[in-house]
Amino acid sequence: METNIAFWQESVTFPLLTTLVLIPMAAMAAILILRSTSIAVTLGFAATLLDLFLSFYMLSLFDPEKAGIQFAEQERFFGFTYYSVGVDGLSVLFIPLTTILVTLVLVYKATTRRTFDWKFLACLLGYEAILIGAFTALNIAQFWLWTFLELVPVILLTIHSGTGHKKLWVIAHLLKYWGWALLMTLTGFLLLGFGLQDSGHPVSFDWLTLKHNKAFLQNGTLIFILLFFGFAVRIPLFPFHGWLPILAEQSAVASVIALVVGLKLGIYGTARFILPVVTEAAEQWAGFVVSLGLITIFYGALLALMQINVRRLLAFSVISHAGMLVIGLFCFNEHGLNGSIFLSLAWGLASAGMLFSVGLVYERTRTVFTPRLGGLFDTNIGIALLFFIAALSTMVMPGTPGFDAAHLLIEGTIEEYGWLLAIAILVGNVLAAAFLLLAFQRIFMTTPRRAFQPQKPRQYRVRMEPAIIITVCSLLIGTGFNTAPWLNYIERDPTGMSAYYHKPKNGPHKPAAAPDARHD
Amino acid sequence: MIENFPILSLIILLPLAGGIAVGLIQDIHIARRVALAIAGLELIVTLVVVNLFDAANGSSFQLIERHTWIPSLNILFLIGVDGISVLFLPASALLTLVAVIASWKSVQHLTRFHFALLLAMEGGTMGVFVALDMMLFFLFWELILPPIFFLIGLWGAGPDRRGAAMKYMLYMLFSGVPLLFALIMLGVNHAMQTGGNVPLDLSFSFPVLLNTPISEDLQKIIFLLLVTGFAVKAPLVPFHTWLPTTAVEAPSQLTALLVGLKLGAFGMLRFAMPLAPDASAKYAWVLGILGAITFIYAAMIALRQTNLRRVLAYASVSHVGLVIVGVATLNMQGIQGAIFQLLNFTLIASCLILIAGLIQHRLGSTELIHLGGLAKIMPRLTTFFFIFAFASIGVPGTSGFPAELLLILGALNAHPGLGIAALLGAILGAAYMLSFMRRAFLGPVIHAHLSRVMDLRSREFGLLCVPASIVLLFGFFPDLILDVNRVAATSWLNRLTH
Repeated sequence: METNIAFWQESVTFPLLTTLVLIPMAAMAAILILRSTSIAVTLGFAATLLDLFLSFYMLSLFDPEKAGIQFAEQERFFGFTYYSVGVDGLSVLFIPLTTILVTLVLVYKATTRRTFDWKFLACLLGYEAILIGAFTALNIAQFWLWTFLELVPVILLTIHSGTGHKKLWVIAHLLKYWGWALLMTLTGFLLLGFGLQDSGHPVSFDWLTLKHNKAFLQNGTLIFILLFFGFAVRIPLFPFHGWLPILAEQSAVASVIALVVGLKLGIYGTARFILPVVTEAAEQWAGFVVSLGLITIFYGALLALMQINVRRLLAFSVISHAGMLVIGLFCFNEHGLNGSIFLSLAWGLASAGMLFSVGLVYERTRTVFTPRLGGLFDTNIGIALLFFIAALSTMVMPGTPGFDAAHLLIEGTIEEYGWLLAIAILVGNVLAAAFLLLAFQRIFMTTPRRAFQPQKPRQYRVRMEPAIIITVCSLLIGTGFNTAPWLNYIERDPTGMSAYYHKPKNGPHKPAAAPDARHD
Repeated sequence: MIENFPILSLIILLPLAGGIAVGLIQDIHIARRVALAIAGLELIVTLVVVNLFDAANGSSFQLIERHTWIPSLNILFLIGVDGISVLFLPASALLTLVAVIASWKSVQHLTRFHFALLLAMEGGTMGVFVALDMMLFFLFWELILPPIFFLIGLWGAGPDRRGAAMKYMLYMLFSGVPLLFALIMLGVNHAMQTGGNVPLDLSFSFPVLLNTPISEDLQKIIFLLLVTGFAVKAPLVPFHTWLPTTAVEAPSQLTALLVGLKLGAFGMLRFAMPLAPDASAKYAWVLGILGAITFIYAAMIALRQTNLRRVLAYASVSHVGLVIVGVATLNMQGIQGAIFQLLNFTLIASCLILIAGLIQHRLGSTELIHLGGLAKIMPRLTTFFFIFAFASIGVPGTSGFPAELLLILGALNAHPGLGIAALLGAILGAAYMLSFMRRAFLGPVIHAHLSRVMDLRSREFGLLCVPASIVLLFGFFPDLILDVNRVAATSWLNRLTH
């Protein structure tokens, strides 16, 4: 099935997606040249706000009714598509989320003023460019390059503003995990690119071409395994999750990690580059993947229940939820996919919200160990509510965006795997409620066991805190009660991906949303 | 003009908006008064709804409001009332008003937040009673939990209040799992039956689902899931263990709300049975036995308790058992008695808990060894306690009598064994209540320092006068309630026993 492509000239007067990447990059370059913190702050805020505005401008121009890729840009070099970007329903909401989260990180840093200098700003802007680049890339080589570059800001920011004592050890771990993952995805992508050669096609790294010609692919299983395990590290799925808790514990409290867990690049990569391209192999391995996801849910939840360090606890909560998202993706039906994608957006925002809350607590108490905290509810009700509302979204309470997404995901799971698995997912989710509420009680409600020495650095701008709290809470509640327009973006299945999916065996009443797969 | 006014939306939104307003007002005294005004206004609006309600036509939904909410899943904002639900609105509004007044001075810590949560909880409860879209119902059902979590955890009376808050929250979230499942199954079944597409032809609208045919096997599953979900909230044995913990740890105004708002039994009556009519008719005996076991078992535990609040908690569990017996009888007396008893206990159980809270506030304990001879010291408080306790036993002249009589008659009609069980439970109920009253209120004053304790203040006296007079009013004129729900109860029965 052909994918419609609408080029950027049809809707805007300038290449919007490239501009979105270039603005933070240019700002980063300027900061690196000028090396002055005061200018960097102005530049940083200007660039992120401009990007924020542009991302919403893009969202307003994006036509959810139209199937296919929009705002596409393709520059051909050397005979095959070399530079190719575009957004569709899968990726369109990730870009505003990126700009929102980066802006919030910036506000958070400007509030707390800890390690807030030009180096930090340059790294953050670079990270923003990388994330937007990755979410818009439609060329696998390009995507791989962005994911590779992601290591740089994560490592630099951890060294620069991490709070742990064993930063180098953390980075060594991170390099080990991500290095292997990147190697595997690289091999997988190369196999994909050269895989078409035998059938007389030219070498191509273009996602559209690959998707189109996937019937001619060879080594599908090998490619699937390489790519899946590569992305499983970033997702992170048990047993490849080891890097996340230590990174969460040792890195900066709320900046790097909020972006790493807030923007689920692994889930996105799986949905974009594995499922539509190596569908057959993915279906063969679905049982294995789902078992892994199930183990991840319960393993993460049980470990989260045991943590006394809130940062580790949140890391395990992310791991636990990753299992659910992966199961949703591997349902091979629209509900599962839509639910999974929307849930990863909602949970991304929610986990970032909880991290900000914990970060603000850390700024006051200099600790995130639950036995040393308590009683903050009386004095800091705003921070407590931020944590609570984000926690409610994470445990998919109705009235938060997670609920409708989880609802879709559960329907998809029932359709494909039956009731038991869906019940297991929901039980895992109640466990998530258990550890999050327990953490909430321990941080905010128990009687404090020690007298706090409120540390407020001279430049600490408490007045800016409500900006973070109000933004996250209103986004969560606002989208929660009014999910329809947001769901609409994802829902239309714009890449026509469902046509590539195996038709459900047990859904006789389900007329195909798209005409039957017309394989060429 | 009044016909088109979205009055049911107002009932939901007024407390929610009021809660936000109370949270934002800086001055505690003003905030408290605003909370009181909102709660009072809400009661008036609910009474207007009862007035607008046409009882002769009570089997159909009235005052319906319908808006699309999430078109992609076909979830509607659909609300309305019928003869079963309409009287719960003023009862809940009155209860919240009573709770607000009861906690007027006793909450000194985060006062504004406390009142905001009480109002938010009221909004959610109203939503549960009027929601006619299953997903909307589920939204409100879960929306009540966060306020309760905070109310128990922050203002609880016991030392383990946070543990109790967790326990309550987790019990309720677990009970949400079977509920959500049943609701999704119902929606998907509708799409399958109409031969439609799954996302577009899902329907969660209660009136539509009532008319969707459901296969027998599916009915069994749905009935089981819904009953399990509602049984936790109700609570029925063996899912009742959260209530005694909560009753001891939570602040008394909240316990009063929790035992007063019989959401679980309401859910059973409103959703579980009509949505799976054949399965309900077939397996009503399961509910009957479960109800009878709950009724007798909880009463026997209540006999052994030494703490007034635990006695009242088990009494509340026990009475829910009787209500479920009434629902399971599938005859007119049983069902009308059940609705009557639910409304009744909204007032009786919660006022008893509030009085226990007043005792706790004065003496610092509700343990039997600290009580004794209270009638001499606090005659006014004792009078009220006796009125409500007699109503709880079902003494003629109180509203407990017609309700209990109807229930026992219904049970006897349905099955002699069930009737005997209901009678036995009623006797046990009298036993634990009277024995506790004798030991706590009558007899000599054992502890000398008790003689300095103050009787009811005039504010508290006025507060309790209203429910007490209602209890007596409906005791003498039960038809005031029975007339409103007669038509609805008849059609409810016809659906199950056609």
